[in-house]
Amino acid sequence: MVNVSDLIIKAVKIEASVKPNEKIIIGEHVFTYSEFAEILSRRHNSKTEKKIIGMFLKQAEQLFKSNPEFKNKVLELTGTRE
Amino acid sequence: MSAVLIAPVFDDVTAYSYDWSREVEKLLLENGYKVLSLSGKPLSRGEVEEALRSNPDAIVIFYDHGREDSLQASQTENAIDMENVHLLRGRECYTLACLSASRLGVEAYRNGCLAYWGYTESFGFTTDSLEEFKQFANNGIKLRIRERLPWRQCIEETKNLARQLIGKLLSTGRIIAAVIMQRDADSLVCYTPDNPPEPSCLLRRLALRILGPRLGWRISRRHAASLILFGAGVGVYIHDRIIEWAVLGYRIHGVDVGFAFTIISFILLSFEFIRWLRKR
Repeated sequence: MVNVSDLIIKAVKIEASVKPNEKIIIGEHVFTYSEFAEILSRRHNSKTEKKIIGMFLKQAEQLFKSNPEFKNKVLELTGTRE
Repeated sequence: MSAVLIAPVFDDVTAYSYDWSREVEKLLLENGYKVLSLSGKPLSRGEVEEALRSNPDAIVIFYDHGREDSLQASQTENAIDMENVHLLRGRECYTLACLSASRLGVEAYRNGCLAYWGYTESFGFTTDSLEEFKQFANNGIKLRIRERLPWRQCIEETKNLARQLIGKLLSTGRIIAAVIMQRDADSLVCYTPDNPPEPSCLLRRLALRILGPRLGWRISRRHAASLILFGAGVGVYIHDRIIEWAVLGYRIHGVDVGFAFTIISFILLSFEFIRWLRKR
């Protein structure tokens, strides 16, 4: 069975590859989509990056469980069958 | 009707919040508000305090960085924090700022702020969906000013709007923006007397249960600590007295009379304190 978190990271990477220079702003922290995709899959991140990634993945996993539209979009983007 | 609009600019991120605040300023002016705008540059704490003092009934609208216990005026100064939060007393406060509802908003509510709109987590947005995030961020104040809806309805409708916007973002393949929007919606709160903050402190919950919301929110931690210490002191005194009377027999000392005076004065003082709190 595919891990939800891995699916989300894969979907984010696909979106980031289409528009790498768009930015995500969380509080005072700014990342381009390509930077964000990179830190999502990187093992060693700073404390702040870890916190932001943890927050993002937790929220995305909740959305995956509660919002069928989001789930379908992630599955569609990653080419995964349920 | 008047409004103090605070939207300082001192980095790239605040340039976005400043831009979004322009729509709010226009809306206020169109709806007959007298607007004092402190916007577009770094501000000082003094400037903000002066504006709030000279406009005691004005709604406060703040678009900039925030922390758990403050709203920032510049990179180095706070506009509003735990020290001057009493300036929000008797008025409504609408913020687009990270985290401030988690502590500052609660303190503002405790100090008699009529409504505190804010976020308990960091506010996020993405540059591929600026229009949608602006629509979400400005929706509450729009409904309040234009439609004159109660705050409870403003927040319900804003959360409904977030659901619609998430649907729109997903239909156009913007999943990163959808996640961030959901997080913003989840952390959005509005504290009003009919929707007060949830106290995390056990003592506060106890105070609310015993004294009711009006007094329970106003009593300070120090006062609660003094009550506990007073109770403990009385307990120690009674314990020692009982043991002494059991061994030496019942006898009233000068210290007992002094203790009785202390108790009476404490009760009188507490009574006066509660009366004073009620009047605030």
